Amino acid sequence: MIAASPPPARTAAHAPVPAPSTPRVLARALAMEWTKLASLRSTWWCLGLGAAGMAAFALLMGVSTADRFAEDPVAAGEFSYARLTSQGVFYLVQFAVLTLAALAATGEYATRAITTTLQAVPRRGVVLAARSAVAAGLAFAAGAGMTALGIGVLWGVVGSYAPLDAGYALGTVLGAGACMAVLAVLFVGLGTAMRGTAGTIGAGFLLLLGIPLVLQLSGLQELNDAAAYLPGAAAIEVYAAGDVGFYTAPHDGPINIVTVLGWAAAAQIAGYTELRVRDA
Amino acid sequence: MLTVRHLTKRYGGTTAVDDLTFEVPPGRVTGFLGPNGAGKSTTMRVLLGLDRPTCGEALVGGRPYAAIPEPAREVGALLDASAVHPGRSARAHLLALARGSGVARTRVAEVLEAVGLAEAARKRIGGFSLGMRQRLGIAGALLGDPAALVFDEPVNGLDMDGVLWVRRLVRDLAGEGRTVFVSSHLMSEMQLVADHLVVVAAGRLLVDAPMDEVIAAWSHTRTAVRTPDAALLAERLGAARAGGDRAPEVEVEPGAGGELLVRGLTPEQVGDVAHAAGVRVHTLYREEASLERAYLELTETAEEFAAGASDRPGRATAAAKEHA
Repeated sequence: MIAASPPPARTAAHAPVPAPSTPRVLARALAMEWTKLASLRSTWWCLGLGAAGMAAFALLMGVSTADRFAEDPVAAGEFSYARLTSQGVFYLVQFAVLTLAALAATGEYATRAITTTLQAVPRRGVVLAARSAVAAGLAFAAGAGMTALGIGVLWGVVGSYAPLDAGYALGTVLGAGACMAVLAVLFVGLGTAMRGTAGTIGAGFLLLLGIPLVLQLSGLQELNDAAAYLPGAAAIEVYAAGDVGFYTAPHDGPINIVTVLGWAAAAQIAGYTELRVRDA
Repeated sequence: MLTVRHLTKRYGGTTAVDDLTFEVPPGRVTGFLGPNGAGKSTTMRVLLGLDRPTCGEALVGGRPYAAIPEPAREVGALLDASAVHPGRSARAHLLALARGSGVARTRVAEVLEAVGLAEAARKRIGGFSLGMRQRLGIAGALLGDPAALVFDEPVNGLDMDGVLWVRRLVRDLAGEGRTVFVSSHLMSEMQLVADHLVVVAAGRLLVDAPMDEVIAAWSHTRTAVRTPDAALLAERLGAARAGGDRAPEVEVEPGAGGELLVRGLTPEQVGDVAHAAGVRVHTLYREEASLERAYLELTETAEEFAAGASDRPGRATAAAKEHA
């Protein structure tokens, strides 16, 4: 026998609901952004390639350094774990973070999925904040983890020649993590302002490496010094604690922290303005 | 309830929506009909807070979208089924939306089941057909069990089963007392699902009326007759009157294919007249009123008025109605 009764109707009229508090909306947006980032293979490819690059870099540097120390044990006294791993972060890890942040910020403009995101969370500032925070968290883990990995690999190869100061290494690990987090905030802001993935990665590459290299090639001391005010160069001064191993800035200390934070703040303001003013 | 009031949206120099005003009440299916580029999607985007109106407003439950405390419970929308990341699974896509809008995660499995995607839940969206993406988009719209639903061309890309499924779903949702607003450029589709029609062309409102009224006002059921003795039959038909003086005037006009189109007489009556006149009849059939014809007449009239006078579209529509 066929039941003639229609399926139970769901109540279409909802009782009035109180507006959720801003922290609650932010917590939801954080969960949403984390779910989205974590459910994409590209995220894990970025992190995997970054880690593999750092491990290979540390192994390469470690082996050649170990050869040198085998011939000249005295040189091992000047060995710096922080300097080599910081270079690994500068040349490799920060580009993984750039790609990750650029994809997090611009991916939804390429697919137009930004429309569903803004329907779920109409407060655009909250979306940007959540997206930046999730990318920053992942970038911190990536920066710290990959730096620790690099130091570990180096220590495995040259540990018998040069002892590791664990406290100093921890500073490098945390410094790299923090700087990668701030760079992620910068590139999420830049990506939100630019909306294009390729453009964002290109601009990020110029800021991190291209422009400082060209400024240093100019041979003019003023331009050479100006390169230190770019985010990548200022960041390495921070996480390498001044022991960069190549010429960057005429200055050490808090000015570099302020520089990196300033870039991030400027990019966020640009991104927020674009997000608010422009149609999605 | 969705409310659009004097909505105008310009993109640079182009006016996508021009002083549009209408309401979409709950409990019925309101069709949003117009040719491509008529401003349907733009209107929906403004309703959902994605685009900022140049003038006027578009409200959901009396509020702009951004001011709704729990938007997912108030309104669910499918605007563009392909606007999803192809690398994510259907489940992860919906889970992210559920988390962002504060909807219980148990709803994800429920809506996947409801749209028939439970089997494909863990597959990446990149491998989905357009029909599956439409279903996924509808699942996303249903996630918060919303009081209002906005669907932009929901049957695009669906196979016959899918089309029938969407029609039933749309009817059921309205039957549950929800506000349902469905756009389409397919008039036949609208005729099957909508109770009420909002017709736009070039960003302007043409009609806002119940479906049967639209069909009745803009098109008439006619009798088409094909005969080699057209002149004689036309003369006799013109003289005929169906049932005394109170019956409607009989109008005869030549059709595009050489046939005669007769208003005011049934095929039986036309056949009788032909028989009495000794005229040979080759074809005789009733031409039913359809939204398709109503729509064509409607847009033609609007164009004539737009070309004839620089009249406001609202008045042009009213005049067209009287004319018809």
